[in-house]
Amino acid sequence: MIRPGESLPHAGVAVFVTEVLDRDAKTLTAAARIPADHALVRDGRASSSLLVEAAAQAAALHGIASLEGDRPTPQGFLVALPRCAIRPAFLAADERFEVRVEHRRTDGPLWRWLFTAHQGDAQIGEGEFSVWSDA
Amino acid sequence: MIDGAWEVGTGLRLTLGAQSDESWSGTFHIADAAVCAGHFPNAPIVPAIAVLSVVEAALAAWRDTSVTAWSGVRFRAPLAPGDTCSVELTARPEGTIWFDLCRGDKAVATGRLTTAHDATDTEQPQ
Repeated sequence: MIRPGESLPHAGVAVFVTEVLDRDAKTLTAAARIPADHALVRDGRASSSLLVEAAAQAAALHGIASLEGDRPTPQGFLVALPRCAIRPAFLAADERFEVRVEHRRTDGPLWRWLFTAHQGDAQIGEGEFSVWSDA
Repeated sequence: MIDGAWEVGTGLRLTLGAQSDESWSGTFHIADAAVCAGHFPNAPIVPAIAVLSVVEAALAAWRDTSVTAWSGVRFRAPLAPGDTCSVELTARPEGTIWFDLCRGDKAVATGRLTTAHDATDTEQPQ
């Protein structure tokens, strides 16, 4: 069982993913929220662009779960956002949404992912991002 | 919001430099480590989403609108508490807005964005 708070290199308010809902060889779906005490939350809401961080954390959890043996948790950094669409402009803090990531390919240290995000039946974001990782 | 200055987040202040119909420029300063809390323990790095938030705040200050899409965004260098960066937004003829963030002469982030047309999406926290 993957525990985001224990598996991710992030801590405290930086942890957006709360639960892994599903995973297979290429994808991971997770529940997430933007913590109300995060520095980028203003008046109880935050930019929907912050869901990209949740997607990046979901990707990290997929990679961590795929590690074999007793390897240390790799460090990863969001380095590119080739495309990302968001709607609405803001999300309420502490409100649950789901993010799904799909691994597209790896080019050396660059890991390329697709993502979608939903809140209830509404899609709130989708796009593509790249993470540089020392995994 | 103080005239020409906005608190984008805790310890993250954006300040207007100059603006016209075609461009907006300013600076943002990361006053403390609040935006880096937990990212990562013992090695604070400003998360890339903070850069997006700064650009969004600049856009809202300039055109009173919000981002609906990002494209071609590159996060080129990490930021740390204490850093000050320049922010430039430039309107292009095709309708997109390009942005550049630099720390000194070093590129921090670049990319393009598309804005909302619906005024009901334009509220921005002050």
